[in-house]
Amino acid sequence: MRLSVPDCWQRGFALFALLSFHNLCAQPAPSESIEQMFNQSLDQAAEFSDAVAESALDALSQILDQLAQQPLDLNRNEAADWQPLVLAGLLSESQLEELFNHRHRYGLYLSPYELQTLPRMDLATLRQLLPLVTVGRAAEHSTTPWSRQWFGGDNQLFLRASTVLEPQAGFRNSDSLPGYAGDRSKLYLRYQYNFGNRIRYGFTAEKDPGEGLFGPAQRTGFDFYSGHIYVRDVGVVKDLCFGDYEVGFGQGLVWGAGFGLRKNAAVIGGLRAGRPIGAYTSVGENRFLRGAAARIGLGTLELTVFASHKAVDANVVALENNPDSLGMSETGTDPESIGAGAESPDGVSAFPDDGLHRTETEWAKKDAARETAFGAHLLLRRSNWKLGLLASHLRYNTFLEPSDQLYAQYNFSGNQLSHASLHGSGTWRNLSFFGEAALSQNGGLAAVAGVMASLHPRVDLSVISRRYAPQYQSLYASAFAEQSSPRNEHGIYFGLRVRPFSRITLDAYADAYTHPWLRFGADAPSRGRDYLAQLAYAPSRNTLLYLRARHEVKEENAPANEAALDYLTGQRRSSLRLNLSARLSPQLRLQSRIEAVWAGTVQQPFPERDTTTTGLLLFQDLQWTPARLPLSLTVRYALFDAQSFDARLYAFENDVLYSFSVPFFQDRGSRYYAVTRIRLARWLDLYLRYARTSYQNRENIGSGLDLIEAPHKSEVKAMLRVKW
Amino acid sequence: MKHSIALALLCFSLGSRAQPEAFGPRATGLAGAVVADNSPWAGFANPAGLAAIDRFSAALAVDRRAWLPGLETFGAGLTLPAEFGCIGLIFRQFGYSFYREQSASLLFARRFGPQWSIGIGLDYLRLSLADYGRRQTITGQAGLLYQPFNQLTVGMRIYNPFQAALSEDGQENWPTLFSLGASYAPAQNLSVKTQVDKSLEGPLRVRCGLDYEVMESLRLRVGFSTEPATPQAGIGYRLKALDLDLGAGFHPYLGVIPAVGFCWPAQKPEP
Repeated sequence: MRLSVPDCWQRGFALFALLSFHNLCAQPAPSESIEQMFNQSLDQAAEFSDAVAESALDALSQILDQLAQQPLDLNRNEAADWQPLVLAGLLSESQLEELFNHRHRYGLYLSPYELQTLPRMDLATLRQLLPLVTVGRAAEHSTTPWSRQWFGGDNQLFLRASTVLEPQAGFRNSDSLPGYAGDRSKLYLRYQYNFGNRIRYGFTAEKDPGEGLFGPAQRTGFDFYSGHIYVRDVGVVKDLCFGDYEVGFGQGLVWGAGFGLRKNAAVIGGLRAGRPIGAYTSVGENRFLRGAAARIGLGTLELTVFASHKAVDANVVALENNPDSLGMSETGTDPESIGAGAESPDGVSAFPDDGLHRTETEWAKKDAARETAFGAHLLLRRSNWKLGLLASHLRYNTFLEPSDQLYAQYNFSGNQLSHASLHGSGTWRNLSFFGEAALSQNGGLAAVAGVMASLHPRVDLSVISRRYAPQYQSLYASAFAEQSSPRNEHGIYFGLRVRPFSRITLDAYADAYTHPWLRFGADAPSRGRDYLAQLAYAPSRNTLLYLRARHEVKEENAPANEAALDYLTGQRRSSLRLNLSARLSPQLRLQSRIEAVWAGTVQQPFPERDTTTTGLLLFQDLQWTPARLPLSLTVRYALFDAQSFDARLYAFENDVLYSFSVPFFQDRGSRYYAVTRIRLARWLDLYLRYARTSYQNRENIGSGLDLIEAPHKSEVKAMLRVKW
Repeated sequence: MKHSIALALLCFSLGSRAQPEAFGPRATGLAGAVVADNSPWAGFANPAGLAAIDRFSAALAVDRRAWLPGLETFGAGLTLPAEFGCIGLIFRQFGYSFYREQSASLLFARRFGPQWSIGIGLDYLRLSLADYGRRQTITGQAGLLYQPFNQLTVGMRIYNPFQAALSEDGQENWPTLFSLGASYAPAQNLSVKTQVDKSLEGPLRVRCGLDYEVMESLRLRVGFSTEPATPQAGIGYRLKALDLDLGAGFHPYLGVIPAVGFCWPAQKPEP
């Protein structure tokens, strides 16, 4: 590393600043663990969770997993590896930019503390960042012999079992009601090998409650298996993955690697995906790729290719004689619904994604179709601008004939789907731009473009505009959208973060969107708007108080409408949350929350039909990590009273390592849980969790085979982690 | 004639009594969140904002709703600083020969210490409908600016507090509007503004705007106002002694509402 004279000065000054910075240096590494930090961002994300967030959380857990294995190296990791931190709201796009510029200008980092010399780096961010970063020496790995790289790294084995204690209808043996094939336990087994973040291999096996485990119901043992081998940075090969993997390019309009937290309280959160190829380690049974993928870097050019072939679940339908006609016998219009088995499996109505195979009908959809996917992605880099070109193709061995409902008119049908997409990103001064335009085979166009501007160390702005045609089709997209997939939506989003004082952060966003075509539950083109404002006050490093207001209005078919024609009304959901979290001592952490929701109809032409309902949630958390005992304990007691499904509330819950729960609360009752980690040995951790919800105004829970004839539901979970 | 009646009806049905709300390309770009601003445009938003003006200045602007001829608002403002305070004159007109709203305001503003400014105004209003005659009335407004420290200004304005109306039967109400907002300027080239507006007849509207001088003499503005959800944007360009401004609101039902105007002499950047 050669430094010019001014650079030396800069560097000397940087080190001086570093040493004189008592506050940080005197402190040990922040005791806040990575997990806790991510729990916080997950908690933030959880409120916005619909079905999609489940996979987002899952994806986050994979990232968390990797970060826990290997901190990010300030000197080696490329920008894509840092994107998860941006997505998790720990780092802003401009801070990331600065972090890399610093390396460009002044050479390799000498210490993580050097980060504080970056003008945009504030103390709070730095504290969060320090446990996640390290400063490596270049070429460390290349000296390690291959055998050690492949077998001398870190091994982890996870064994997890959980069950609901109350008997559910499907598990009772009765001749009249054919129940679930297997027992009520949920089992999970995972082995993971890591050599730094350079080599990873592992496998996962999982069985859901009610699914068979060996025996006649499931001869292959577990219901789901997954495995991968992943290597990075071998000569020109940047990533190489065999087995199960995910890909994500650009803004995720075609391939979004599961991880796209959509709108988020951290309104300045980035949108760009991380590395384009990632090993798949989660347990969603359908949305991943199986085969091989590679990314090759040649100077400023980068080529990614991937190919996959695997079975996917499908609702098989018997097509009538004329497969071209729409008059087919269809078992459900909702993609989630379970299709009945059919004699002539020459078509499918949907690709369900729940991964449940407990009954004969559910079994019938397991792996009922085969999917082949391949694609290539070319990326051109020039200083801090990137331009990417993607072409990919998806093919099924059977025809998909979705619902003939008008709202589904533009849904994907047929047996193949090709895409082409162009995306780019870059920075100019303090503005980062990004965008993608994608074309699906039928001519549908989707485009998104945005800018994130760090206008001042205290003010960040992001503006994102999207235009997704109703005709645009995608099956693996995960992009910025109000809905779960980028189609039938035009919108503009403004996000603003202001830190007028060092202890106060104001976040706000406004999102206005239209759906030019019908949607499920909206029989006309519709509009919506979504506002959020949050005031956070951190009087000290250990205390955070925030007040958040959110207001969303979406046009939907008027409820309780008796007229022949449906008409739209605005469905409002407003919520107010006050949250206090405080660490009283290194051992004790408390969190309290009160949240209220109002849901109802606005613009209602018949005010007497307005049925605004309210929901209320209060909870108290306690987290205790005794200094002298090898254990930690988290407990929560929550009380809820939500009058309707629309007024339901979500709350993120701590769970055993790398698994997450975000239950929602409806009706009246209470819930408590306790989760503990016991370190039995250096290499052995035991996690135990017990949770119970008791309802006051219900007599049973669930329906069908999941019915519990009791007003309470309890779950127990145990996990062993072995490290060697 | 039919066309004209339709337009007149449209004016009514849209509640186009937008007169008390902030006006001008600058306000349009900032989604109207300008109640805490000091500028020659302040006469259209908060009379107290004139107190800081120390030179004679003139501002002229026009906007057009729904891109329909006849739905323009013209506005002109003069600011005359004096020893004892600052005097402002505002003229505004909306509509065309068949339906016309006009107003003229005489404003007075002065500082009280380094932190406070107060402004008051007297407004003459006239509504003319072809073949129906005209109605007129007088009302008033008052505003306040408070600058607790350099970066932050808080503004408040009450317009038509005593609910002056254009007819005595209560059918022709003139809006009563309460605005409260703040402007936060962490640097010379940047300010973030927010405001809530409550008119007696309408819902609470929240407005938020951001003004950024992206390079010498070029300013970009974005904003958002609720009820209805309206993204807004604007550009300001300093051409020698003239401030040229362009703004547009993207109304969900009316489409683009463009506004254009200028101000002389050009304003120094906000402190």
